[in-house]
Amino acid sequence: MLRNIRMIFRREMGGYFATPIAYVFLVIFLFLSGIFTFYVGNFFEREQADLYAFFSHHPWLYLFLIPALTMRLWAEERKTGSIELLFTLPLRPVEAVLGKFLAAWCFTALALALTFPLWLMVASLGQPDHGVILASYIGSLFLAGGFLAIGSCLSALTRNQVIAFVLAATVGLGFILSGHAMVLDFFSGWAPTLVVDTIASFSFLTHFEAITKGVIDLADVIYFGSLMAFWLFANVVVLDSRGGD
Amino acid sequence: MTGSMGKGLLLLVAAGLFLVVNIAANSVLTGARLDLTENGLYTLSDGTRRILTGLPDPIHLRLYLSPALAAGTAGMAPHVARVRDMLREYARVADDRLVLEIISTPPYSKGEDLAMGDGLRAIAAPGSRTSLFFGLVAQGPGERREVMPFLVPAWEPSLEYDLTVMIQRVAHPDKKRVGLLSTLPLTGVKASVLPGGRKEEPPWAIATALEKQYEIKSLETTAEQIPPDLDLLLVVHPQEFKDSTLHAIEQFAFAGKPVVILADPFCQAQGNATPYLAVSNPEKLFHGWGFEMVAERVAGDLKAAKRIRFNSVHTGSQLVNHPAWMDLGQEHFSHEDPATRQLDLVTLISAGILQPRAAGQVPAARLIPLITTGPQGGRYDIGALGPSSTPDRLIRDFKPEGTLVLAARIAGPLPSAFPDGAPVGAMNLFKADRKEGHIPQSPADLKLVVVADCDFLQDQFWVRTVTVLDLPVAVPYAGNARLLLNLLDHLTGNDDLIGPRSQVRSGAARPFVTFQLMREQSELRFQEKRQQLNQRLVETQQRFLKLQQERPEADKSDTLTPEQKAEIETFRMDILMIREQLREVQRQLNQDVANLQAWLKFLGMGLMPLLLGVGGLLLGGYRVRRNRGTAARLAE
Repeated sequence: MLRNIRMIFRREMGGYFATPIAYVFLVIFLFLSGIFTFYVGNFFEREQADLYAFFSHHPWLYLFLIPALTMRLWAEERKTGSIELLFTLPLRPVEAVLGKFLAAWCFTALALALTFPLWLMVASLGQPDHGVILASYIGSLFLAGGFLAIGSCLSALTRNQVIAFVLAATVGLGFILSGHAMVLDFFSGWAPTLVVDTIASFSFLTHFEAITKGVIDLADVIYFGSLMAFWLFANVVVLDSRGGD
Repeated sequence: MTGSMGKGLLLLVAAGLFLVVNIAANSVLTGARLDLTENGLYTLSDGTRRILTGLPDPIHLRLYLSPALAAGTAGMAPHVARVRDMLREYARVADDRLVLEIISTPPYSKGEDLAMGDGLRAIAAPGSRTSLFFGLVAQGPGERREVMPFLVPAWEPSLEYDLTVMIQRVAHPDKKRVGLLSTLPLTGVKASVLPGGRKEEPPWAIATALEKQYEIKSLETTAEQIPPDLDLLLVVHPQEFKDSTLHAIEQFAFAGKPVVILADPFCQAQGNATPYLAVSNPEKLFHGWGFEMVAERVAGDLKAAKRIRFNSVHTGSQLVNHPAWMDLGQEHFSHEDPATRQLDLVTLISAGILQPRAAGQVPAARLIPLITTGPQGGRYDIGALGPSSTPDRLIRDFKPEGTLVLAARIAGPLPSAFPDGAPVGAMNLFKADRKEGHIPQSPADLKLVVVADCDFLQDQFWVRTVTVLDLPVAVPYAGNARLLLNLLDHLTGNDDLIGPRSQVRSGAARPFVTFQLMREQSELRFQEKRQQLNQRLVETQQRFLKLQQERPEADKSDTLTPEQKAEIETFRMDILMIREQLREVQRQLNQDVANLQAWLKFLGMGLMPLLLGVGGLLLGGYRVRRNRGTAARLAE
């Protein structure tokens, strides 16, 4: 099983860098991170040696960038027909799903790692809490994993990449907004605290913000882990039921 | 069909499992966490754990919370989550000794009525008239209860300490009693009813902090007996105390009770600019016990010098180092003593020097240092700190001599400073035997601490008041109060609160030090230029006067001589030039900051995309060439 996952992983990673897509994605990700940090997050105006301005916009950054990355995962395979070829190999859908997901996750991790000059910059300006920054990077990686799992599953539903993008962005938005004030306000007026808490507890925002404070709670890890597991399982089920259609 | 239905069912089951696992994880796994913050901000200290596991009776905590605040109104969602998490952690650690109830208070609900009835304070929601609640009530058996009317975000750094103190107060309602013998108005001043009398003064923040934990009993500074039921005696600025009062202090300590004495060679809090009139140095006691606070000397340390804004007629407002005002960091505190081990910053202001002193029959006492200067400490005559003193001169006159002790525990046994027994006072005027009831020697485990400074208690040196959501909030930025509270806790045998108190970070803000330094350097350049300008003004005035004096008496009319006119013109040109230079300094600073920001923006935003772009293009070009080469070879 591991051998097959590794094979798919290599094929995917090679695929990213065979075309300019990887470079374009990385450049856009890094450039937009900078825009959000310096212009939207008012990094210099806050005068605080932390990377709050950088990380606080990650959910919104991923909302559009990750679906752009995942839209081709399965939709492209379907469109070009390579999915049939893939499944003629002695390969189970779960192995293909995991291989593709891990490759995409590693690629996102690379993008995230390339933001290290921001960490150096903030360390040169003051005395940041490095533990908080490390936790925030870990949280951001979990968040990206969540978006990727959703995007991967929804990409398997269609052969049209645009539809895959829109679906992934919409579902991702739902997972962000369930912890946002405007949605919770809607419930908080009449629903008991337990219900409001439960709705908020299924939000990317709630768990991501909790980790970016510098504390990695097992409940947060379980949330992201189970979320990824569920969507990847759904991905396998979709592939099983639709095959190469 | 059946297959796809089965798969749909499978997905539903998986979704249900996802929900159940997360709901369970949220309610069960409330303590399993990895705290990566530098100071372990989210980890309960051992002291708090000991207090929670040792609670004698169950305590009910009622947290009133407006759903709008939890949802992010007023930007409070993270703070609300932090408080809720911490309270859950408290309840988990205390097991069934602490019952946490979270009561929702939406507008016009029963919860709102309950909150009002419990004594909570509501704040108005931004942009609406809705009341928002976020307060905590701790209820013990019977009538024991404590209320935090509103949990302000600015208190978050001291959240654990405040919660632990609250719980301890409910668990152990009998506060320890501290006798306060002070010539400084720590507990405030009531307005005089007489015309022209003293105005009302609020209590110092230190007194408010003490009263949270202790019952403070203010004693007359002429007291001849200290009530024996007190748990500790705190003596502040003992200026010109009568012998009978000093004797009472000594006998209280010799009876085995803890005593903390804060004396000061120059107490600026007294408000007297002449140092010689602002001294408190109970020499009778100290010398009699075998040590001294060196008379008329204060300690200084160039490395620990506090950075202050100094106003001078000649140079205007300047940022300077004041070597007799010291910001003392960890290296200045005893790491063996529980009271000082976890301190990170204490500011002492013109503190005195403690040292052993043998005299006659009295052997030198053993001082166990708690706070010291650095190895390059030095001393000043208090006259050097008078009204005409300037930090520049203090730095110039500084002579390093070694490590000096600023606060110390005094080891017992000590002989009495009153070998003949109680001095004559109002209470024993007619007593035949003055040695009756007199304790001639302290126990070996004497609990006596002397700090050679009182000014550190003043609000301006450790706390600032800010307004948060319309509430005035005291936010400490130095550990001065923690020093005193730690000493009191340790001496009264209550070390458990020292841990949670050390969780309080003095100043959670992490400013851009680089920009601050740039601004300070620019300010120095600005001051230099301004000084130059003043100097030129003085010189021109002198030259002008000289020219005026040199004129023949008959010619001393109102009209100016050509030389005077030239002098004025030169001066005018000078002013214009220096003003231009001043503007240039300011422009330069703005430019420097802007340049640095631009560079950093490039580093953070542009460098990696540029490298990737160039790298990608080069790699792409290489691949194209390679493919062309391969194609050409194949064609051949």
